Amino acid sequence: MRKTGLLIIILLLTLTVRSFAEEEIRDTIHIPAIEVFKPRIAFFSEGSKKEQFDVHTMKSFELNSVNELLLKESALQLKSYGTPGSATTLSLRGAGANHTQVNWNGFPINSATLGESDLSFLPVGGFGSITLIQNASGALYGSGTFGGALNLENQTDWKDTGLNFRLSSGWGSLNTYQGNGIVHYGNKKIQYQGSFFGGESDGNFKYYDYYLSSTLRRQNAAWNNFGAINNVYFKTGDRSQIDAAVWYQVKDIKLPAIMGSALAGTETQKDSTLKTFVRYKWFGNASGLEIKAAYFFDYMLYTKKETAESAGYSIFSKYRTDRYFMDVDYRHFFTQNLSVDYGSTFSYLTAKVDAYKKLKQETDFAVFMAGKYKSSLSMAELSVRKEWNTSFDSKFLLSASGVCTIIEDHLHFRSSISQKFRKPTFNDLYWVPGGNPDLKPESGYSAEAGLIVDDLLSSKAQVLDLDLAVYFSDINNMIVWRPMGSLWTPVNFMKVYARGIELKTTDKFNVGSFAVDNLLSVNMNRSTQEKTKDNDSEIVGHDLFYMPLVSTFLNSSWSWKNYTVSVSHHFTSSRYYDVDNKLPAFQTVDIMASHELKIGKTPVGIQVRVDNLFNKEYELVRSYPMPGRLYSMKIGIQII
Amino acid sequence: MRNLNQKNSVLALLFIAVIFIFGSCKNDEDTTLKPGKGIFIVNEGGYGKNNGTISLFDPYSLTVISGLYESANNNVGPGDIVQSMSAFDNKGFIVVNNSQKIEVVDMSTFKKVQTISPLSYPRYVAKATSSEFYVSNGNSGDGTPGQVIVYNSNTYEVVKTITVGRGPERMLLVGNYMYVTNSGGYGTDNTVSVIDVTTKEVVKTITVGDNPVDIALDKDQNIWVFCKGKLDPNTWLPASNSAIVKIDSKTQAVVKTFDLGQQVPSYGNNLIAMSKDGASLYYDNGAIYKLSISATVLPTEKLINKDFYGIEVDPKNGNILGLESSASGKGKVYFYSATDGSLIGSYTVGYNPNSAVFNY
Repeated sequence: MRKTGLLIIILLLTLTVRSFAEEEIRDTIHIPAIEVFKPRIAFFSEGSKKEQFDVHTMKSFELNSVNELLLKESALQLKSYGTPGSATTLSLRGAGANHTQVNWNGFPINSATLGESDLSFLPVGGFGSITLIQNASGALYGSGTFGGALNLENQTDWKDTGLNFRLSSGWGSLNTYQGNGIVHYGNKKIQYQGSFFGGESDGNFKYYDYYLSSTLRRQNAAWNNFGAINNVYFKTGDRSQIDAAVWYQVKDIKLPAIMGSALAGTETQKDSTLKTFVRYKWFGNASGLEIKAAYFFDYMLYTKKETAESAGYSIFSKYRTDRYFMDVDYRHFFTQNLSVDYGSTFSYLTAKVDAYKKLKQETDFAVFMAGKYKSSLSMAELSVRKEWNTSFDSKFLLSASGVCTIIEDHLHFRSSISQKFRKPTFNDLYWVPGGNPDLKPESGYSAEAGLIVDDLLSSKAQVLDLDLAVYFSDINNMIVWRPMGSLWTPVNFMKVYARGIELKTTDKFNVGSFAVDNLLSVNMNRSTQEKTKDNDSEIVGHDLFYMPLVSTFLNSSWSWKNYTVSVSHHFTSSRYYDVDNKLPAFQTVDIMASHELKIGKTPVGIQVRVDNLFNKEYELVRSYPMPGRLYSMKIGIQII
Repeated sequence: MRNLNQKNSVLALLFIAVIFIFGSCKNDEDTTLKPGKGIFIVNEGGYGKNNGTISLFDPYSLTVISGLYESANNNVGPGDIVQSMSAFDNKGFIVVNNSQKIEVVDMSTFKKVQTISPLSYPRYVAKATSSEFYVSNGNSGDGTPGQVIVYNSNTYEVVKTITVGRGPERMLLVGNYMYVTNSGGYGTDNTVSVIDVTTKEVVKTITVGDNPVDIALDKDQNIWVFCKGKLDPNTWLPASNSAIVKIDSKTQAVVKTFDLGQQVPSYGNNLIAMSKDGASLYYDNGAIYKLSISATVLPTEKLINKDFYGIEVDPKNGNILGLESSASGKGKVYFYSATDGSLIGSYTVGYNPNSAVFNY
């Protein structure tokens, strides 16, 4: 019933639009190329809360990985096992780490085996933009967006010609060395950008072990991380372009033991990835076409020995996934304000994992349609998707969003509602023992409403912006691993509600010759288990683990001439790690100072940081201490 | 004559009164828990969560006292995965498997007196002689055998390391011999190592069923071994049934094997317990059954229709204890009457309770 109704709506939409369009003279339509050309997820992102890191912040973290960027520059929930090289995952809006879809050039790079993405394996310096879309639409993104999406993109500026070379190098506590070289060469027809990065650290920070009642140094915690991301862009005509990219990266890390353990850890993990991407874009007067394809190879090896002296391994586990993607998107502007995207995505995935015992495969095909109406005072989007997969078929997924202006240039209202789903991971389906091939995907919806205030005071002297969002998510059939007799197996176990309020405000003004830039982010969230398969009274109504009720981020930056000093404060409230016990609330303060100067004609930037200035003890994951006070220094030189 | 009768009556009354007074004093002593005495429940905790605990069940007030270790040791818990506890010589040996150590506490105060570490994969502690105790250690994940480590009870120094089978688990002392079940650890094994505690050498290796995990002694000095059965390494499906093996301790040979017909559905290993009179063995095969030690076939009737993570018998009154773990919340201990298997009561304890230690 709902399906047919929906189809009718879509059909009508297209038909009426067509008849409308016939009255217009085609020649008079002139859509800015940038709108026709914009990749789908960027084009349809206005209805959701969107956060993008600015150029200064990206540069400040150019030697770090995305986990450090988010830990230091936001109030977002991350789970980390200690050092910056440790596996770190992101939870958005009270949903789990496997509910954040991480995309590179529009293709999901989340682990096919675990469903989550390790942010310590994403180099900040390798991407042109890093954008967070809270409440990303299920219809546009597909599986795994109950929390939202993190989009990593590379673009080029065709006006930037010639050769550029930037080299930066950093040193820090724990024998940490990091480096990054960015080469850019371009002319009007071809552009190349390569980012070459690497780092290593002993990771042996001091921490207080309250089980052993002593201050110790983390043992077996060293890591190194090397790679390169190369992007090429060809202008094949006035209206067409091909871009291609290759990303190769290897990370080796030793995993320290949990707190209270009497032995140094003996676990190691090696990750390597080769990701390739190619895209063809074409645009006409009122339409555009984007065809893209990608191949991702991911490999992980985990080992454990009983003791450091043991000759053999207790666990030697290999994971390999090969993924092939293709995506086609055709956008047509019927009028200046109204466009519809028609598209399809295809993916083929194979996994060779020791624990699956046999090679596993998955084929996925989806079709979608998305319409957007935009005028100077409002914007509305409507999208629908149907997906077919080896292990399930999704029902029609619908999402709708809109923005309307209440006070021109100052006050806008935003709202969106989206049906979502998350397919079971390969570990959920195929792990031996316990994997359950009969699992259903998680399904549900998210809704949000927000107020955007631009330049509240209407003053050039002080620019005050505000974003207030209220959200609610209903996740059904959430997959949980539970003991069934003598084995643990994943089941579609519970219904979860996640609801919260997010406030973000920025305030820019001058104090004498200082330019001051302040940012305050306050997130309040409550995620609860509403119903479970076995109606376990001890956990129904209970908060999900590792979800704080309140988290805040405050940053104040003061700039004078070419000097900048920035102070950041983080607060996270207590979080459950089992039914009775919580990790305590904690707060940390970081300081950064930087200076841009010129040595001859060469621009040079120097930056020093002190992280966790007051050496506070805290854990993001139970039993894994986080580092205390850390010092670091970075020099960046624009050689050419 | 009447006076004597009166005197006799008064004396009799006095005598009765005295008996009553002393009688009631004796009753008072029996109704409060003495320090270090009672039923100690071992709660493993969740892997990696450092939330293993010991609970104390007070059989008089019928209440559970949680977090015994934390209360006595500066609010710090014992660690990650409390696998077992043994009590002897007024000391409690708490084996914290994933924290790779054993915490030794004074039973009367529960304060820590010694930490034994490092141990790569400690499982159980057993008293061997008046001056030595044994620790079973090793997961044999790389196929190499595990060890029984001999410690001096006074100095806690390692006296000797004895190589046994793979994944040594529970140990039982019968006379001068320590019987060690080689459960396989991460792999598989099917033997019981017999160690002469006077020479500290393995004198015999007895072949039993696959993955022996639990052991008990009956009134005739027969040793009963519970073998869980092994899994196919490729499919992780059961490759052999669970079995109960009876060993004569005089000949150190197997006299009877009972095939349980399937691999028991419980996730736990502590699944056999000897009755108070040593004449019946309770075992968990999806439900609790009672096997007479002289039986030749397994019983068909269930005594208690419930599956558990671990079962025990209270040596004081013969009550059967069922320890139930919960996937998301705290576990429970159930008390049953040995006469008819009827439920006496149930109480909430810590996370994943696997065994109980009776210290009276």
